[in-house]
Amino acid sequence: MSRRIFFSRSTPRHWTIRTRITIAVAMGTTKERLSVIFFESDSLARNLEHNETHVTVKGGRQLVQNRFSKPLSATGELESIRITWKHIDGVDTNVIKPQMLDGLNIYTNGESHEFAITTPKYHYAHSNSLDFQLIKSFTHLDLQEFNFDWKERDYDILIGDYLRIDEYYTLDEGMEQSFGKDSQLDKMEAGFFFVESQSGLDTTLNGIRCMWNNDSSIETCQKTLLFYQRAHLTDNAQIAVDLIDPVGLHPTINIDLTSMSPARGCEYYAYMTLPLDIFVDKYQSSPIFVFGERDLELPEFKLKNSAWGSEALFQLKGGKQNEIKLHSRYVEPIEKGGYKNSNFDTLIFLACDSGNENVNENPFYSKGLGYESYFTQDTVFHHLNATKINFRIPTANANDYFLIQHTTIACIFFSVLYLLAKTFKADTR
Amino acid sequence: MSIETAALLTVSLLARIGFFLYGVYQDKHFSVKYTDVDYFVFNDAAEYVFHGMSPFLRDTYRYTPLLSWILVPNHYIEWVHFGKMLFVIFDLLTGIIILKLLNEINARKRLVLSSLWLLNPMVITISTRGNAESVLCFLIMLSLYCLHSDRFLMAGIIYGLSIHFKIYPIIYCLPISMYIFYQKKQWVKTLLIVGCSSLFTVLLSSYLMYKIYGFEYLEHAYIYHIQRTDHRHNFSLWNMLLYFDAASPTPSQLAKFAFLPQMLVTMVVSVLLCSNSSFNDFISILFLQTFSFVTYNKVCTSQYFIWYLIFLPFYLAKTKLSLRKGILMLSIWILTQALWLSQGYLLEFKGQNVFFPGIFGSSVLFFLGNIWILGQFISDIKHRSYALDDKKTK
Repeated sequence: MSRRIFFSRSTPRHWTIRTRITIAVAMGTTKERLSVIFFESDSLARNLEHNETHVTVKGGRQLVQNRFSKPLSATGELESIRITWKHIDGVDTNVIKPQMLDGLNIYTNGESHEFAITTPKYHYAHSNSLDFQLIKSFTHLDLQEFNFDWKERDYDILIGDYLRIDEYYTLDEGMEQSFGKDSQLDKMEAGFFFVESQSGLDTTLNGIRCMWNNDSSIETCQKTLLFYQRAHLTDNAQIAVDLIDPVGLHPTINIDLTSMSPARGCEYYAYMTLPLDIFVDKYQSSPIFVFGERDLELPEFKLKNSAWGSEALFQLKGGKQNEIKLHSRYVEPIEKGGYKNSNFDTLIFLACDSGNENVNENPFYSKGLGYESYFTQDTVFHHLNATKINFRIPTANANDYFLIQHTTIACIFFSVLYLLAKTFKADTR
Repeated sequence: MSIETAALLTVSLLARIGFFLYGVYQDKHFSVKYTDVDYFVFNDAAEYVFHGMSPFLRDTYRYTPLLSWILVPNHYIEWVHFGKMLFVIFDLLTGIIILKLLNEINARKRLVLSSLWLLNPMVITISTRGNAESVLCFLIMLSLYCLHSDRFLMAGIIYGLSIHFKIYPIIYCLPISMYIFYQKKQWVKTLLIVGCSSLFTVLLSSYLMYKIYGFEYLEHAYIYHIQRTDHRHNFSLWNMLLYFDAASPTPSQLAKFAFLPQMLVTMVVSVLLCSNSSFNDFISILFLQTFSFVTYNKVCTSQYFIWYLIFLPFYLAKTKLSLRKGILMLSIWILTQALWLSQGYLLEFKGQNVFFPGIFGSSVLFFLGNIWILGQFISDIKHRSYALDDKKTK
């Protein structure tokens, strides 16, 4: 019997929850929910087996979301934290996954942090690489204790009065994975679906859902039809985003939207996370906003003790080339000189009003802290491009310091002598 | 006014209108703007003033609020380019004063020399791009004009205002005093009038601005300029050292004393006024002073060159330099500058690491070239007085 169900909400609607996390306390239930998306119904039938305790999936590029959640003790502070980790650049959103930003992103609406930039929506720290110390300084949680595979998988972690970890990966061809209930879990369920239909925001998944008993045996598997709406969609248009050559001290990004037509109720945007090496002159480039380190003059080395950089949002025009001018900062001279390699992330998307606030939340993800929080709840994002843009900054050679000092003094000293002599010596020409 | 003078002024005006209109066109149709980046700073600051707020709300606005006041009409008539027309007018008026003051030479020479300002593409570009230097140049020339025509109170007030605008004209106080001492009757009284009125103007204008805008005014219009250490590449000899110093945990303290040789040289060249102190010699000394001030300055960009360019016609009016030498001097100035500009281009637009020896080496050459040129100017001024002495003894 096929049953049309909506996933029960295992999480409260809003994350404005009071906590200061300590991991030890675990009152309530610890849950795991697994969702595996097959590309077609045949594949689901062929590649799925189960015995009394385990369901086994043969790899074939299935999308996997593994959601783990457990309650945390609350201390009465109103705070929620979102941490996202995306290990490969590019647009990567699918029926169960939102578009996250590249690298490590930590957002909190609680206390400020010296490394974080402060915006009207959150305090935000960004890093290209995984930094457990940084995570710990925000969350007081040691995420290293979890068995995470940071190199291969992406994570979307929410910390409020509960901890919710969404892990994303694909089951590659030739791999096989068995899913069972860990004895420490209070509750385990798994859904195996194929995408029955996708039309605009509407998505229908069809498949089976299995629940486990307390003794780790499978209680039941039943057919399930799941209907929901997505806020993050991939647009297949090929959008070129690159730096205009030659790249000097003022890198200019060109975003080619000539193939895109303006859409009613929609606007094109570029969202950027910029390290200290580079900045937006808000007076020149007219962004919608720039938050963070946006001083127009200071060199990078004078900002060492400040936050990680800045975030900026620009509105773009469809049907046109869009140029955004950035400015690199002077960087600290190093031994042997050369160049400092740096990069920044851009995310290009079309944001549309859907008039439907249901898109704010679906069984797999919700809009939370992050770039999406600057948009209304009914906004749907059509992702066009996510690129890490590399550039380099000429760096003076520290070994030249000595020679430069002495040449400068010599020039000053002898020039003054020369001019004094010229002025006071009887001149015979 | 002779027909030639009228023609010169007309051509000057037309050239400026042409450049101005071209600028409006380029701004509208090209991504690279003709208008100077700083002009947008002034314009934004003026917008704050227009809305009854402080011009210092605009990041990097580091000037007297008076400048932003001048541009408030931009926002009344909602035309960003309006202020540039004012700068062009100031620039033309400066040229007219130069023409008026160049009165000790024949008419033809006068036209040629004043063309150095009036028809100078660099001068025209700077004012039509919306650079505010022309306001300052006008104030300085007007003050000298008043001094020349014995309007001492006015001279002092306007001189004070020019210091309020950009501090550096303060270096002219010594030659102004010497000129008054040598050339004006009742020099003590005159000196007192000029001195007190300029001091009073500086203090009053600064006090008023402080009263209106508070500490922010002092911080941006004065303290910043005294403390500034520009690490971004510019013509100055000091530039690379400043970049390294800024980044070093143990910086050399040299740059802190950069003002010493600068002050020493700018003051010392004033003594040349002792032997000869006509109005023309006086302005020639201002030329030398400004030239050395800019040469020794910790920051130096192209717009600084027009600080001394306003005095060049006066210097050349009486020079004994041979044409050959003059061409050599000009070539050295242009070539070393071009060398630096080529390195600056490679760094800024091609992103090549040419800090050393490229940028530094060409800064050194430009500096040394300027010093040698300055040496020739000094010899020339001394030679003039010998020549004059010779004439007297004959």
